[in-house]
Amino acid sequence: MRTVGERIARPDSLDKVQGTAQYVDDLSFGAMLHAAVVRSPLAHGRIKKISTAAARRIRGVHAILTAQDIPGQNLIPMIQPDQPLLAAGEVRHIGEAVALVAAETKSAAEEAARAITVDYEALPAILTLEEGFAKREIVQHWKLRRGRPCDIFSRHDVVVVENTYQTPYQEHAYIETNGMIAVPETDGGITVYGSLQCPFYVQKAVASVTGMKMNHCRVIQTVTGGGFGGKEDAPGLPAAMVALLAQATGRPVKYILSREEDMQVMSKRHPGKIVYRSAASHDGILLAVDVDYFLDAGAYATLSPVVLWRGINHAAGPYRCEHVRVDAYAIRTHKVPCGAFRGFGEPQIVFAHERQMDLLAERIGLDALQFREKNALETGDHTVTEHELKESVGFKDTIIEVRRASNYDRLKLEIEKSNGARISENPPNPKRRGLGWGCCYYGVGLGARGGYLNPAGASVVISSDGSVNVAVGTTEIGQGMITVLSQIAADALGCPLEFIRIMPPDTSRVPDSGPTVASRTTLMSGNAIADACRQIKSRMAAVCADYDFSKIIAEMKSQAVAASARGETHPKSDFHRIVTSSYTPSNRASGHWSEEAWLWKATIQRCVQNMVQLSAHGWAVPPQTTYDGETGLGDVYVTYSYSTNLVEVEVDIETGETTVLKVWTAHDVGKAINPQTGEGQIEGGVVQGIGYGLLEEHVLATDGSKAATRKTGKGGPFPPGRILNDQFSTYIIPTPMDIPEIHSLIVEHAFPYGPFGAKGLGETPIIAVAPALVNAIANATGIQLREIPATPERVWQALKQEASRRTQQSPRRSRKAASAI
Amino acid sequence: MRAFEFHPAHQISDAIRSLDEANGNARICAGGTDLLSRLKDDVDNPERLVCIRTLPDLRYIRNDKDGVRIGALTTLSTIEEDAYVQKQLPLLHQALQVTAAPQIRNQATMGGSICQRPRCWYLRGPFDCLRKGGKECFAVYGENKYHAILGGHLCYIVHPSDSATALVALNASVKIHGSKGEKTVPIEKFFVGPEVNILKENILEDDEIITEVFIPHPAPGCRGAFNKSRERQSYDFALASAAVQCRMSRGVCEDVRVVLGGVAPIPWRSREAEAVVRGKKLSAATIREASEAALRNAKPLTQNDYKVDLTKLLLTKSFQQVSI
Repeated sequence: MRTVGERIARPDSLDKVQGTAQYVDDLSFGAMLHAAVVRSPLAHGRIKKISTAAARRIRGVHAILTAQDIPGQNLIPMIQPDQPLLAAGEVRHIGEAVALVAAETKSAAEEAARAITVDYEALPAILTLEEGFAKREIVQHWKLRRGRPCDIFSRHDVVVVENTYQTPYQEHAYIETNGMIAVPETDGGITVYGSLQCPFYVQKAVASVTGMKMNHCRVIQTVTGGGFGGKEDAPGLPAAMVALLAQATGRPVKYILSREEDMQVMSKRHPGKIVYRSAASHDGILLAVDVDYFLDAGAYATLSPVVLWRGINHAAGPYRCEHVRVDAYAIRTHKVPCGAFRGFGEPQIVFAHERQMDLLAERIGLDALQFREKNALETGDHTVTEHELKESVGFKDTIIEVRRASNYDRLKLEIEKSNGARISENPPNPKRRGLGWGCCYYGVGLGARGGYLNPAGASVVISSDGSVNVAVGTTEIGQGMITVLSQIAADALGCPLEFIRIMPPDTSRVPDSGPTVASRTTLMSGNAIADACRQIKSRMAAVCADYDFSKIIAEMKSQAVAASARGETHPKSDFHRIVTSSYTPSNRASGHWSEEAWLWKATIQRCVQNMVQLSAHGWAVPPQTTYDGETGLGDVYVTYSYSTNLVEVEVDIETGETTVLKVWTAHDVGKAINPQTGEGQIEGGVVQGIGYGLLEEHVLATDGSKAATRKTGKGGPFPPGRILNDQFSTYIIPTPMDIPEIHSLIVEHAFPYGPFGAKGLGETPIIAVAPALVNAIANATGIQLREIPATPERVWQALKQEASRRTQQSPRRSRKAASAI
Repeated sequence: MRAFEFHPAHQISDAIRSLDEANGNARICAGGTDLLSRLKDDVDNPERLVCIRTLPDLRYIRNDKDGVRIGALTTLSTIEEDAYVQKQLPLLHQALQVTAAPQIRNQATMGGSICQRPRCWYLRGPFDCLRKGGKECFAVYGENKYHAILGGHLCYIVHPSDSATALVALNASVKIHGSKGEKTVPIEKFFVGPEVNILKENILEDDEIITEVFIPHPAPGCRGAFNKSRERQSYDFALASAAVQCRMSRGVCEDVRVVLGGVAPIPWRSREAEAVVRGKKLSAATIREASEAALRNAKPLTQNDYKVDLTKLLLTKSFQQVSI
């Protein structure tokens, strides 16, 4: 092991910061056309007529397609077969695609799209989760039943806390919007280039609508400016659109979404509602939880069933809890379909259970940290789904690390003192500091519902100069995959890192390797690479085991020095090429490689001369998982990553503004292949979590105008349900000025099946930040928010309510009321 | 974005002629930070852009005996970095420091900054609202947490410009060139509320451009403060802001201008607050009374009563800063 565990710099970073990386919009093909999409202005309506005649007359327009022009199925294949590519007869959300245009220029395509008139008959729209549930519009219902929670809740010697929590939409806010180019091939196939996370999902979508065989639909990922789940399934839509237009016109077609279009129509984090009841004993043991969990799926199922499933599997948090009842529902509404987002159904329910843990601790009279520690999962414990944890359970160590790094016990006292001093300042200082905890765990990989998507493949090919091409089916989306997989490949082969190249993902190179999601890439692609490398290594060993390389290395060195002294740049023989190629200017000048590199090159030379097959396909299948649909119990994931966050905030009790001062965040990742990329993941997740907890939400146009229309008797066409803040000036995400001091702490409890012991880290950093923030606000001010984001306005409202509650209630009465429940 | 003609102007008269010819179908492009987003959002579709970045001699900050003259094309960052502004006009300096983000301040111009269109999401979305010539203001019964609490009348936009709030407090004036010649208007007369014009935020005619902003030298003993609240710490419009420019003499407020931003369709001068403090010492009680007076006539909509308290706090803070 030489590179694993090292802080290796990302090989793709220079291109990105210099602006030379080629994103999909940087690419161009001969005779390329541009696409535009006609989209529904209504949340729900019947299409009466589509008139395209005027649009067809616009100069430069080559194709206009509606649902009836689709040669294959009008279907984006996901979990449930419900989502058409183009609305046929009925539109079910604002922004749903109705018609496609391809034209010589983008502006001609957009002009034509505006010239297409669609007559709709407006239908009643379901715009809230509550209304959808009342009408039984249920996409999916999962159950979890363990022990006898009813018995616990009926006992008189337990502390019970019950609350209803609300969580908002969250935008992925990837720096690059969705975009695709489809290029028709001479053999009748189509190659799609684009910004995406999951090439095999896109391949299926393209094959579905074009009616072509999958081997004729080739998908290549271009450099991708972030995904966060937003490019998991959703890119199938624009990819299928350009593929259809390319098929119809025989020319390459490009479609890049504007930011506003992307925010209006692409997937987001599901808004959630969680009705959560918890019971604990007076000495601080979490006994039972009873939960109803709702997600607003939007108009189509997409990934909602599995997003919901992950939520239910983690419903009680990383704690022992033997009595559990959870019912989880994904509800269909006439809004934009929600989908995958970093955390995948966990952040919503984790917000609820981590608030509950604080409220229980307060009622019992324990410190929030003590109460968590007392109930924390350890080796030998069972999760909420009765999964026995046999190994790699580093949760307690994450708590210990945060406690140590933050000097928690001292910090807590110091903050109490400083708040006390501020109250007595003249004039009183309105700033209050507070600390809040948030913990979570995360089942790594797709788990028992992942089925055939679970395995992953890899192809490793070594060239005669010793350089190595590695192809995998998962993607680099900014998370650092190229770096980490390069390290795994280098160490598995025993070759220097600079010999490794990770190829751009391409569906024609490796078998379906499932999606780049669920924090599974290091684990699954890493294991597939390790498998391929093992095969090659064993063949190499057969010819190299007893060989003395010192003579061949000496000969190669002297030839290299002589060649560079002659100024030769063109290799004359195979042997010469092996020796001199892939020289970097610096080592060419000095005439030497590292000893390690010489040995690697000599080894490969010997293998080439002995006709050893220096290539292999690797395949990784995760260990068995189980799931019982009736009870929801089983060993649902292969293993879990654990995380603990402590945040320090300062709240202005006059304005309600919250400033995040410090974050300590510890993660049990099994093994950090590259601590630097690991810290990058953690810091990014924390910032995205601050956005979720304090700033971000979509504001949808309500039925306000109906009232106005009734009142004034007039009013123009008005689309209720439309997202009002579809730009970064109105959809507020954190800027560098909003980022606190972040202490990233890595804990390593090795997972024996993982490559070098690694588990996964992509998602845990975001999941428990929002509840930690709201717990810290509660600690600073005494207000108990049940809804995020905790905007200044929401905090101010709660402070006002709290103040009026306090003036109405004497302290003695409030204590009595609390213990009577 | 739709196609348009692009007319770079090399003289002020060229620009005015080009604007005049277009009969209201042209827009002026200086820094473009607001204009481009309106074009991309398809809420403004002019046939012509008259580019005035090419005009010579409109980038300057000049001091003369009366005051400081700022050329309309001077960028906000240039003004922010100017030594005179930093020393003598702290109110303006503070306002610019919390305006947008450094990249935008490098691009945005003095003239463009005060001519920004409102950020109302109905105005900038596919809604046929009053300010676009429609029949209804959707904010009244719709989503209005960022809308006006003062001075709303049929339409409830808020003026987005921080520099405009500061300039009204500094008693600035605006030099305007048009087909009919040149004129100078006190900046308070430049902005107009919806009761005067429901379609526009200022008096600028289709054939006119701003060429200069003039700020008189503050009298000795003048102090200024600007406080702004926003949801995040950079690149965000004001939830509310409060500017106070005050001439103090032996602890007594001799003269004062109080202007509130982010709360009304124009930078909102609060004569009520001014009346309370004028001629008095800025005691805690007087400051409280003035802040209450400033918001006494506030009429919050269904979702923005938060802004009333917030504005009082910001105003209190600004008064406290000038009283020290």
